[in-house]
Amino acid sequence: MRLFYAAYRNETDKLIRRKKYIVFLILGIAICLIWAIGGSLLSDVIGRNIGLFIVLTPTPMGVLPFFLQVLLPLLIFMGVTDLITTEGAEHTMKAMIFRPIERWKLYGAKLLGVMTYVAFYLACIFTISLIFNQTMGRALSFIGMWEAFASYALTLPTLAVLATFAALIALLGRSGSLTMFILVVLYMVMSVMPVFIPILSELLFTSFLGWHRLWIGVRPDASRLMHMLIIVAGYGVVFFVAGTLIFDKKEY
Amino acid sequence: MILELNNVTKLYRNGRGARDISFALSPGEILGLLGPNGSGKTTTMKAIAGLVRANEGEIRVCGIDAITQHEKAMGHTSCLIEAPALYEHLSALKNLQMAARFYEHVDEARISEVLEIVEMYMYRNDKVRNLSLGMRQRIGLALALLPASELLILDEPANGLDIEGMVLVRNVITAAANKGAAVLVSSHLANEIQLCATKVAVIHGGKLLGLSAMDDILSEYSSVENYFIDLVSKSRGGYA
Repeated sequence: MRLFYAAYRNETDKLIRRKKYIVFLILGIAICLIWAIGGSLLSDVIGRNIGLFIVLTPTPMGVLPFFLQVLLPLLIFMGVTDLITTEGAEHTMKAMIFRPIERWKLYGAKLLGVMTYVAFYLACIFTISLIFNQTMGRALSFIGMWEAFASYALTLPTLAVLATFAALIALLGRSGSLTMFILVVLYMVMSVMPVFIPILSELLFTSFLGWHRLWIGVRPDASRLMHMLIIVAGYGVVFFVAGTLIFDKKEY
Repeated sequence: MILELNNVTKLYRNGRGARDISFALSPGEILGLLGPNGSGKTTTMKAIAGLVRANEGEIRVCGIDAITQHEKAMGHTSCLIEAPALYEHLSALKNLQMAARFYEHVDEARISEVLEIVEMYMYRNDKVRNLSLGMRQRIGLALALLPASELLILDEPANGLDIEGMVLVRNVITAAANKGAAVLVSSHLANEIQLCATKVAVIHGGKLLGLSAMDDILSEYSSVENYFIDLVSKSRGGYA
């Protein structure tokens, strides 16, 4: 466990010390601010002057779909590409491999490092969007805040599955930029396919990225939730095991 | 024995690599792997460090099977293989601190000590991307020295170093061996091996052509270079 923790700290360190991840965080905060100001203007100023009353979703829940569908997947793709493909291409992977740690632990530490940053990012976005929301006169009730928090927390399992999938693809890539491009294209294809083949929305893990909506508010039946949980867990296990096996055999 | 290789073979898809390599290394010994570029020196070292998987054979570090028990074996090993594996966006110190986390006995004082040994203490806060090739090689050497392992593997450690740097590498190797470490060092320069090794293994075309103690070599040949040329000529069926 000590060695895994050492590897985990290293992987997290490597990520947060890259400027682009800080830039991404600032971008996220800016989006929250724009949404809060925009929401405030639309519902109050325009509403009062024109008599048109527009209700925008309170900020934490309003910005979540955009982060979930666009920015967080990009963040995950960047993270796994940096920690897996780029390290392989730049021959820095061996700095960790010839340390006393089994490869599967190292691979797990890389994934956990990426997910830690994603969780940190979500926590920042939630806190900042909530502060903006509460201070700009559109305060959420305690239950509203709790539901928003639960929604953010519920996105983590599906984002973790996306990370295991991205890591698997990153293992097969030889160039960081090409891997990033392939991941974005694959993600776009998987996101669009259910529109044309509806049955895929029940099968593809990318369709479950917004599953927090099913847990919060109107509750679906237990069997449907169980079905989704099994699919999400199944994808996660398959992608992680496949990634571990490939990483274990990979030569650097 | 600190290191034992028994009939280790690692061949790449292009047919190159190392075949049937066997040797052993005791505490305090310095084995110089001598061979031209592409002869299989690095492949042999990579197989020991677990960077590549041997197709056949057995590798033991301090009696531990390094192929099946990589984590335990690497607890007794430290390496500098090919170019130093350094994260360019981090400082030299951060690179060392990250490596230190894997070893319970390595603290900040030890990190400062190895930085002093390689004469890089004053550059510790510089980003690796701002360091010269020679400076990076010194940091790579510091990373290898950090855990003071029983087995020290150095692949062409003098690459990119100036004369003072090359002397430093030799001193570091000798000091490690004097403290009881077994050192495996590779080079394509016979003179470099002659100046520091206690045993020489000549590797050519992926095969181990000969392994002798330095004293025995120098009693029969005028230099390690002549020993190398003789072995390579014999392997080709010719004369020295």
